[in-house]
Amino acid sequence: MTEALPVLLVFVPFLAGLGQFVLGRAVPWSQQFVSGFNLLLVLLLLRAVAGGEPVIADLGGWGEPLAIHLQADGLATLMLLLTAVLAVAISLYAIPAFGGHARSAWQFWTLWPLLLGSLNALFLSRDLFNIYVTLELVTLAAIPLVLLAGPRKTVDAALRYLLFALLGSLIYLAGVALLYAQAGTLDLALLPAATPTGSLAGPLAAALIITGILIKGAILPFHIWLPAAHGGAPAAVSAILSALVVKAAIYLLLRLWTGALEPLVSIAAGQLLGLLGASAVLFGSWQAFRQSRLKLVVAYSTVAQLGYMLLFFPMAVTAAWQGAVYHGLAHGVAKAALFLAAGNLLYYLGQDRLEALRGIDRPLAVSLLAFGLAGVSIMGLPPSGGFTAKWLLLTASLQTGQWWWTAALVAGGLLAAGYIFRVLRLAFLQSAEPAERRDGPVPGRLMAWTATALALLAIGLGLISAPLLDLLGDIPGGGS
Amino acid sequence: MMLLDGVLALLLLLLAGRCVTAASLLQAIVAFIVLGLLLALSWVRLQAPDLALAEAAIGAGLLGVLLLGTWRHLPASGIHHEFPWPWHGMKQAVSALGGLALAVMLALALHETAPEPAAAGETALAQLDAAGVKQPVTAVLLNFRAYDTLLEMGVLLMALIGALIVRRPLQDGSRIAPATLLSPSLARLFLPPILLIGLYLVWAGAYSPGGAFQGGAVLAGAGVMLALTGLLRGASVDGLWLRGLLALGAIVFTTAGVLLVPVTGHFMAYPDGLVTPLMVLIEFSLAISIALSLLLLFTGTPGLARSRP
Repeated sequence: MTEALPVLLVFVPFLAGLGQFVLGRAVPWSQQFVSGFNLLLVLLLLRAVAGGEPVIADLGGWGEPLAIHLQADGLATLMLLLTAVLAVAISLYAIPAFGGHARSAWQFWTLWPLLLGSLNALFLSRDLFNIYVTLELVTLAAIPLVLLAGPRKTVDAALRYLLFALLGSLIYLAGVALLYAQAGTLDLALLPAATPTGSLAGPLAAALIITGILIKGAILPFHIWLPAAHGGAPAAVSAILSALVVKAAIYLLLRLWTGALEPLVSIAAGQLLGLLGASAVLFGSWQAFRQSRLKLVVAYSTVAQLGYMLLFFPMAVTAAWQGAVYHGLAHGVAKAALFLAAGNLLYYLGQDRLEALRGIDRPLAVSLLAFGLAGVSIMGLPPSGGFTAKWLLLTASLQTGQWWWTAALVAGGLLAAGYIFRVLRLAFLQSAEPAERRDGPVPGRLMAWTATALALLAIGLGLISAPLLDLLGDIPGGGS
Repeated sequence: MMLLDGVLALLLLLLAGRCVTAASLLQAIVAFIVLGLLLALSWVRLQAPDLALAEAAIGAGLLGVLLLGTWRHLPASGIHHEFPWPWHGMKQAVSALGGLALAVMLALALHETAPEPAAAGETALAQLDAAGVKQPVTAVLLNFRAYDTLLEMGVLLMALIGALIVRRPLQDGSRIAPATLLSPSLARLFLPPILLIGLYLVWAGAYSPGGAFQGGAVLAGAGVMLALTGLLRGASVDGLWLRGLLALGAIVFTTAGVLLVPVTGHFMAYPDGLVTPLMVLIEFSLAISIALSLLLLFTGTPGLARSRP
């Protein structure tokens, strides 16, 4: 029965989205069932995978090397779990945020389950070409969602996102074609054995695949599409994009690097990726510190935080593996909380310029609490999930003797403290004068408390790391 | 034939260059359409008739129509579309050098890789009988890798939703009446044969080049012709039936994949004996959804209506 779980994880949200589309009007409550059911499926999958054996579904029953397989191992299951938990919270948040009447609400409640199914499909895929299709699905669900903030405001950002994403897809696809020409299979499990090494074509294919994914993942220097798109989208959508969509690209990089592309990658390439990651951490954090709009602060913070996950590649030991993946989880939860909280402030103020934040601590106390708590994890202070992840990365850097990554970790943490406290200072410290009254509606309990629940979870991730890291296991192949 | 191939390759390069260096957007679009046609011809020369059909119908035909349609809307939206050519040198140099470097490396890599019979491809050809159709491309699209095709239908649907979100504000009251040399009576004359060709292409996919994507694109072309001559117009309201038909392909595909699990034991597998009829059913529902999606991308509206005479 367990082999049905991966298939259901793709098809249930997919059919729900199609049904919503045909219906022609928004039914927000049905999505709550879908996200709840999705979480239940993931929990069942978690139990099945916990034994150490991956769950595999053979679509069409054609066997290797013909069929496309869906496979859930520890890494995939953790990403599915992150997606499922965030899906529950964000679906609840979107009820008041999008309402159920406008046409944009129908578009949101159609695209969101489709995106959820697409993300599940991406995490479960075990086939290089199928991964291309799922990457396209995720991107083409994400871009219309950005446009929901109002086409006139966001069309530039969305088009730039689209052009970069298409360029990334094409480069990735060129790499896949080149690799298939040599290996004769697209199955991730069969590729390492089938790939001939020692030629130019292999490493070139790997380089193309990795570059394509870096563009999709908005890694420095390909980050320039991200801030406008993530900063301009509606808050619920920004949370999905920053916490899950770009993360999916980095997930692929981790999976391919330690699996299908393992015979083709080199130490120098790992160092280069680490360098890109460290630069992203420093540059993104500095930019976040300089922004004058709240959502851009949070968006640039995503550019920085994705960089930490790339520090796995130069170190490639189990501590780095666990640290990078755990950073993905912790950042996902914390960033979703930050964007939802920022969305609440925007909802009340009608704008998100930082000067406008002065003295909003009284009406928006709960949302600010969420922002602060999530910030603790972003800065990497104990006992949050962000701390656990950075601690593991720090351990790895000492284990491998590559101390220079420690410098990036520390500097990134300090800069993160800078941009988080800059926002909180404006909101709390300067409220001695009577709080200004504004016309905006105070966000309802659902909007305030979903953000807070996620922020609390981001802190809690620091306390429950052991079972999750057990599920993830050691670095595949024992490291190099 | 060597000479023909050489000329073809040279023309492809020249046209591709023209696409990115043309002085105006219209010239670039026209060059792009011709490039698509020549690419289709190249696929024929490379003995890939399926790709040739797809390239001609979608790459050159519908994509060209979409580009021209967008170009026509640009003045109304106030978007400046004459590029300040030549580009700011820096960007152009970087893209040209990047492209050139990639091309050289690909050429070197392909030169040294002796193309061996691909393992998965060989297996696919060996199992063609079990797949229920004689055409390998259709067998891969609808049977061996049906899951990919199903997901692609999702891509098409979401692209349509995205395009409609953007198109909405641009067209408020500013639609330009289509100016065309096609008269409605001529369109009525052409319509039956075009529909027949489209349906035949969908049907033919089972045993010769063709299939849902190529046939759907031809059917969409018929719709575009009707829209251009004013027999069909975009409507701002979409009906339940239209949305149902847009999602039909994905819904039939998914339902067949899930409902038959008790019989076959695998998701997206077909029971023996029912393989061919099921695949034809799926192929036609896909073609309908594809044709309608492409047509709505052209009209830029959520719905369609017959014009009042």
